[in-house]
Amino acid sequence: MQDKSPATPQIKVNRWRRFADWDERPLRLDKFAVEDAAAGFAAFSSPNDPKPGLEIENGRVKSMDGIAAADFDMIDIFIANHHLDLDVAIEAMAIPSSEIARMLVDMNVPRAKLVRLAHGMTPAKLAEVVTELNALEIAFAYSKMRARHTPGNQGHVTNAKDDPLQLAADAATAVAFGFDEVETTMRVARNAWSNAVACAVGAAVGRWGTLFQCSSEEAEELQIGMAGFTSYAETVSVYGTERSFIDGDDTPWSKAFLSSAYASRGIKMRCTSGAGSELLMGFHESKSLLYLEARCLCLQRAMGVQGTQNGGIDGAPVTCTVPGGVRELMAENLIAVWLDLECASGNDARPTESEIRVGAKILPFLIAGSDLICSGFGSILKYDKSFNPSLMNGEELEDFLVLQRDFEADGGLTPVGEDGDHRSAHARGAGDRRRVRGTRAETERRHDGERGRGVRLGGNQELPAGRGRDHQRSDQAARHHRHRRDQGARQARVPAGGAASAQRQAARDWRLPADLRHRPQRTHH
Amino acid sequence: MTGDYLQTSAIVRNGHIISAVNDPNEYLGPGTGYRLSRERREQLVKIRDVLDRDEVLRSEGRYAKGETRLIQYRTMGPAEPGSDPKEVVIGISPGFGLKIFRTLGGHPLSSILDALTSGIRAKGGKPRIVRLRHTADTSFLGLSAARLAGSGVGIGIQAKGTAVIHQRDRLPHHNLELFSNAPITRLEHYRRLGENAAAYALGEAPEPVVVPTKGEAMGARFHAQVALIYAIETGLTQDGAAPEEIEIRLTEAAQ
Repeated sequence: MQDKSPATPQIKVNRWRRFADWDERPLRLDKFAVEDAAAGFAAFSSPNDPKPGLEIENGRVKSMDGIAAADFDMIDIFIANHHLDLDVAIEAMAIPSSEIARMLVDMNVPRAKLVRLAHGMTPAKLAEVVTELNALEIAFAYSKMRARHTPGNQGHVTNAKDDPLQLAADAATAVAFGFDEVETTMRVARNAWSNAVACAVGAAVGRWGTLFQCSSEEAEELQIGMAGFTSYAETVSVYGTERSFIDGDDTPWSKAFLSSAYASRGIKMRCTSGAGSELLMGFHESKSLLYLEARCLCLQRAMGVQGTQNGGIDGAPVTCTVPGGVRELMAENLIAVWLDLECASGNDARPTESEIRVGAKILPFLIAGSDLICSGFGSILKYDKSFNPSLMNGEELEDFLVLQRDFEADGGLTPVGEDGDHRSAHARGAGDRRRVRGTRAETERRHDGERGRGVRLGGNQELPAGRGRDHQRSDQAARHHRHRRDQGARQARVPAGGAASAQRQAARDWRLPADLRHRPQRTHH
Repeated sequence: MTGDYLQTSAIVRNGHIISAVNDPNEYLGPGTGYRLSRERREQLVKIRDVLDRDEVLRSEGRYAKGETRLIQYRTMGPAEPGSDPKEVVIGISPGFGLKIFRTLGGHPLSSILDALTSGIRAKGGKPRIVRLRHTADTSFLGLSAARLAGSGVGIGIQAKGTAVIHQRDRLPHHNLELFSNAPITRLEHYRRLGENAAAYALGEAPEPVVVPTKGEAMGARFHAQVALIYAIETGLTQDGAAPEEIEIRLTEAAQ
């Protein structure tokens, strides 16, 4: 990294040595961006953001946030038709934003009253209200407005080698630490089914009732859910600009259809959104991160989903490069719970190499509590993270346990002793996974010798070289199970194509190419 | 006056003493109490080493000249679907070699194309390069390339180095292999990417290439640049623009 002061190329003779010391600290690996609203680098407000406003005529929205109904893009249409409660809107929009901001932190104003008002507020209005709050007030309001009484947490279980045995053991361990939800994904797309089965089994032996998901290509993820290997989904992504949707041949309608496909099969589901995704995709319309996310959240409520995973998520790192970025992530989580959505509150993709910034980032959520404090705490080591590292990972898990103790705050996790439950959970996870792999003699042989070792392993680098690159055989076994389930599904007259056919239908409705495209759920570097 | 700094909470600011007496905290919730003024905020945000767009573009520009000595791109007209079963199409992004000249890993794009094409040839495949202009998204670059390839296997690569191996008829995000960590993807990985693409084209099931990570926070290190660079690429996309056949000539220096 270069110093940007005028004398950049030269070595500065009289440079204060402390700068050289600071240059060696992990913080200096982080990049920071200048505030530049035109280029999309603005957290809370941009000259291009619309001003709050709503006109209703004959029971229909005539204009919203300064945009006439005739000029609505598809996101506006969906929000105006399905988010706004017109019975509440006139009243809610008339209250000054500063007054609503004060209600959010007023213990004499019940949550239910604020939720009702939010349902009558436009994206620009919601954004304007939370902008009035400083970071402390946001955390306090979050604590008041979150939906569930008891805080929880979600862990990621992945493996850089997609090794099923270790995935099962690690899922069981994550459950032993108390994660309420476990999410996996894979390094190589074709290992999706194998990973799903491994983690599903591991999570189940840990504790009954841990919810489990496998993040993969959207149609396949739904199929895995319909086969019964997962119990929730949270990677149905929505975006705050029309071009971000269209670039992936998606629409709010196709996403709503996909969401209902999950719900119709009894699978819990939430959407994903977060500041910075439009910026990373190059379609930010020079609008602020918060305004675009407010649109995403209204859209999600309009779709009728159970909840959201927001707080930057994959956009968190770029959001944290901007002044006020971390406060913005808190503000968008607040809008989510204010709208009465369950909130898996980010603290997911690692936005910094500074351990101090990591600790500061997690603290407000730890002390405020959250439905799921992290939408993916890396329960395994960083190098095993197929999502890329989380804010907190296996390395820092014990730091988190100490923070809970320091602040006497429930972050959803429970310490385990060195000879405690996690070892037996780890062992049972590995053992049961082996049984699932069935009668394959070779697999049995391989894992018999390794099962005990797998129980003690910290990460895949301790596995023999070349292990676990490709798991087509266990993948095939899982797919066979799916096939049998699909036959059952067809008898129940459920479209076998699942999300794919749902999206195809939605694409036809919107006269988009039937060439079906899905947005990446996770952005790439 | 001289004793004012003995008041509760007294400090000296701009030559004046402020304390609980003349600057009492009257915080009563949002909109009250101490709030950052615009001026004070301006001061706070001025940390050292902050990237701006001009600097990122200037630094890309510095690489442009070097690249013109190493590689020439010739546009040969609209790209048609191929029929050679050994053909692997490399779909490059709209700004590849035109506006952006090196990957996030610092590799010149001439070296990347050299690595990909020699990897494909080494395994018995036939590389063909097309420039896609309707999208800059990795998955769709790869899928579009695969649909033009005689073998049905294509490589999609953005100028910043993010790449994918794709196959015709697969769902867009259900690729064969994804190379999502451009900053740590080295030339040897791109070469093996080419080899694997050719192997898939020939009906083999090669071992996927592993780009080892130490768990670096890639987003923290690179996403500010990524957003600025990628905006250049999306700015060049045109709805419905047809893919272009590209012939490259690498000078000896590039090889």
